[in-house]
Amino acid sequence: MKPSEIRLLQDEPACEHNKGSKSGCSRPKPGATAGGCSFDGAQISLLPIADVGHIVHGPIACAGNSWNNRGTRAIGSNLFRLGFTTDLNEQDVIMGRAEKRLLHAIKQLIEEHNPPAVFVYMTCVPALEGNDIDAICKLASERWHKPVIPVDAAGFYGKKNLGNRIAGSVMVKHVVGTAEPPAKPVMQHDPSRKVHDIVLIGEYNIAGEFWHVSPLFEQLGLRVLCCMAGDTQFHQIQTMHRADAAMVVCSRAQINVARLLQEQWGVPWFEGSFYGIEDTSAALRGFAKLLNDPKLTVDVEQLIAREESRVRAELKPFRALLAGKRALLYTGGVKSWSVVSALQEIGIEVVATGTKKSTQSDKQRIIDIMGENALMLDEGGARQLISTCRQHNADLMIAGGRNMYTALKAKMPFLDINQERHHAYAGYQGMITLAEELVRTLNSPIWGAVRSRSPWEKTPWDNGQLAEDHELTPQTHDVSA
Amino acid sequence: MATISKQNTPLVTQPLKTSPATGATLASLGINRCIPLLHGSQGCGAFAKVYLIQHLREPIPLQNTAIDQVAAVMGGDDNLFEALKTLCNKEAPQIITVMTSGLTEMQGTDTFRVIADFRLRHPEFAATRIVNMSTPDFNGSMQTGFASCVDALVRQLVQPPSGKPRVRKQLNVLCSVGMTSADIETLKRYLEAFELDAVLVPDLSLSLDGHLGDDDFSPTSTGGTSVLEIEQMSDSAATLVLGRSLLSTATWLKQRFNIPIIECDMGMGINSMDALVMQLAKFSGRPVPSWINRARRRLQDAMLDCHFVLSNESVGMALEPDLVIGYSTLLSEMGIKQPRIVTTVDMAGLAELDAGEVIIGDIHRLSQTATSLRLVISNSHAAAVFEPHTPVLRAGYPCHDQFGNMDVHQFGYEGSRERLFALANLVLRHHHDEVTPHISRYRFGAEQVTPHATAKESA
Repeated sequence: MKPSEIRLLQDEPACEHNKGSKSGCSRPKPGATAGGCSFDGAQISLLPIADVGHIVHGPIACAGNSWNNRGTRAIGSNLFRLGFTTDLNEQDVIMGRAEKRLLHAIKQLIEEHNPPAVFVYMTCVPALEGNDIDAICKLASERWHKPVIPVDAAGFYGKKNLGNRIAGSVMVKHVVGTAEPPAKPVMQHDPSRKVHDIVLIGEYNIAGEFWHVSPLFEQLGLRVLCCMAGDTQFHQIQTMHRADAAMVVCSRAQINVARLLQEQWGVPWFEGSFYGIEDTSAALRGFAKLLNDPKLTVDVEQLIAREESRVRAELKPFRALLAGKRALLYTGGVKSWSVVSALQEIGIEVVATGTKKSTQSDKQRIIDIMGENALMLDEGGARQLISTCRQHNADLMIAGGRNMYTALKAKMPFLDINQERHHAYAGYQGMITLAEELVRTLNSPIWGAVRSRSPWEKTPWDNGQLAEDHELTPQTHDVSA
Repeated sequence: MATISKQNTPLVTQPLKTSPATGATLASLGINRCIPLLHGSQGCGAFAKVYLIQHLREPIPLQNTAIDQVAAVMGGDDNLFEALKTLCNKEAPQIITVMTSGLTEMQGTDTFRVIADFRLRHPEFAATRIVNMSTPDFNGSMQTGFASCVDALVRQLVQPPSGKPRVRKQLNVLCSVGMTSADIETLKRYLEAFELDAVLVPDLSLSLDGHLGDDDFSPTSTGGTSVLEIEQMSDSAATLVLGRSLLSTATWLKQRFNIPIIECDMGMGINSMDALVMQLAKFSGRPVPSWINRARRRLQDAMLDCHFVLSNESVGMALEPDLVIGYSTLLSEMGIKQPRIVTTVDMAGLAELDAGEVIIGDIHRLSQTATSLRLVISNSHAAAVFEPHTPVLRAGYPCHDQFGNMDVHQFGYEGSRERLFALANLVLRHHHDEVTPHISRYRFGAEQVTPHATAKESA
């Protein structure tokens, strides 16, 4: 990918970061960076397109360390879990055989699995070597009559964010608009109307959590043309351009996709989140607003009233257990505020929230929700997170999996909120799960035991004899008795 | 606090317990060069033998007195007498443990009298000790039989204190039927750490640890605590009891020889082990070595790691009472709910468990609650009932559908940690996605879309 193309991608008119210093898209800082690379970002955005053959073109580290490690779930073909890679070896690199190997890899993949399309991910080594994967993909595509799409997002191009964006633009450039969806059917609950077509951008169906939300759309007569990308199939991406409305979910990294859909096909869009009761309701209202259907607005309000009262009733016992607890939240982007309101709904006070990947508007939302004195953490080293927890008497840390063991070693309750997690927190139902998991860690009886010093350390050794006043559990008999 | 109830149905389905003689046989195998002799019919012996062989994957030198029709009617004394004579004559074991069966107890057998008679008439076999115990299958379970054997060994073998000075303090250790040979080895490491000499009754780690010996065949147990060591138990400065089933034996030693008792249930869970280590430190006057501290910290870390999948889960248990107390203690420390526990006999300590109800009954009582359980801790019979729907962590007897039963670690900081990992791994491996996939009725397939004639992929 040319530097000029990368610059173009970094210029995102729909993003507030676009003016002034681009903290969200800035250069990684050597020695003080923890996030993933562009390849990582591109791969995680597109892998949930489950029936596509995803080939990682490079030596083993890129695929070997990352294949099939995401929490995303899909029904039907799960080809994305097979971890295809060209596994370039030293001879391939020295002798310049990487391109040839890639072509053969595509051939084998198509022959063995016959996917609807193949995505080829560039990585650092073939990028440095100067592999022309565009040409190879074009050749393969003509040869086997199948879309073979190059995703040129080698790791050194930049941060994960950039990779997300490259992936989005590749989809818009090569896939979106290449097929028409079937004609709109009538709504099952109201045959006088036809369904509305919607798309979601940046929803990954982690632990199947989108399946908490998808039934709601069904009830409202909304047809999800495509969820990009979680439980997604290739042909769904092809039809995204026919959406009547789009929602950018929980991450601004692919805001470019929404902008391009609007520019090229006039699809209106809004940003929202499915974390928390209020946000889920707001997201449904967001669609109602864009879709311009008075009946839908009525239906949405009814559904919201029904679901909110149901979930609030179910949450009551959890509120009693969780109210007054204090949490430190360290997560990216939209979640920095959307999860705050979700936590507030179950009575948890958020003492600080991470804003490393948040935009100006995200920060404004945080202030709206948490007040003027909201503590925002721009940097999140392990030590900083722990000392912030201690300073503010936090009862628990909510962050991504990579901070989990940091919290545990500090003997601190923890909730995993990021992509690797196994629990579905989205939608109304997800709130119940969130509360259950919070209770699980916060109310576990282990904390006393794991924070305790051993009794022989508590009672100093004196003159070769233990002091007599140590605490023993009542079930033991005194030896001298 | 748990409520205790006895199953009161005429029919027992999927029984959890087995015969006391089987337990007594197992205990006998932890005594060096011992032959357990079951006073009963051939079947009484054969069933117990096969049961233990399947679990342990070891030959079991269990003999029986082959009560036949005539002996059943006319009395089995002659059979016992003849069996003792044959065994002493042919094998010259150090000790024979004589156990009764339901059949011979029904006859009103008096094994004590027969043995006394045998002693009088065959003084040439005085070198072989003979210990008798009452283990009819209509009373108790494997655990109580095991405890009866330990009790008989101690009461009948222990000699008055020798009064000899000792370099190291000696400790009696009574090991529950729930302990594996790996557990006993771990325990010995702890005792050695405090420079204590221990007499373990029984010591299965020397016989049933699954080793190959030099001899092609052994008619007796292949290792264990010697009769001599048991005789000198009165010289010990304390008795450590692992498992409440053996508390009465320790109490006897205390009453008879004024030997104080150290009790620690099964040494499962951090609190139980903290208390034990403190007791050992106090008793020995030795500092706690650093490796024990390290083991404790490892357990703490394991508790942290595992709590995400274990805390608040519901686990069912069908085990003998000693193991119930051991596992329940460990589970409670993790915040694991125990709505229902099934066990074989009532015992002190069960009511204090942090569980819903404890039922003295069969495995079927547990399967009634199966749908609400995430895991079950029990034997292979329970596995056949619950799996694959609910995974079963194998514990207790019999576990004939897996290898290495005697290598399972339960005791100590190490054992507790290993059991937590085993439980957590079972949860992970039987992970079910929490959301049912939703296929919208409006979803369309690839065959329903209309591809454009000029595809963009060559762009």
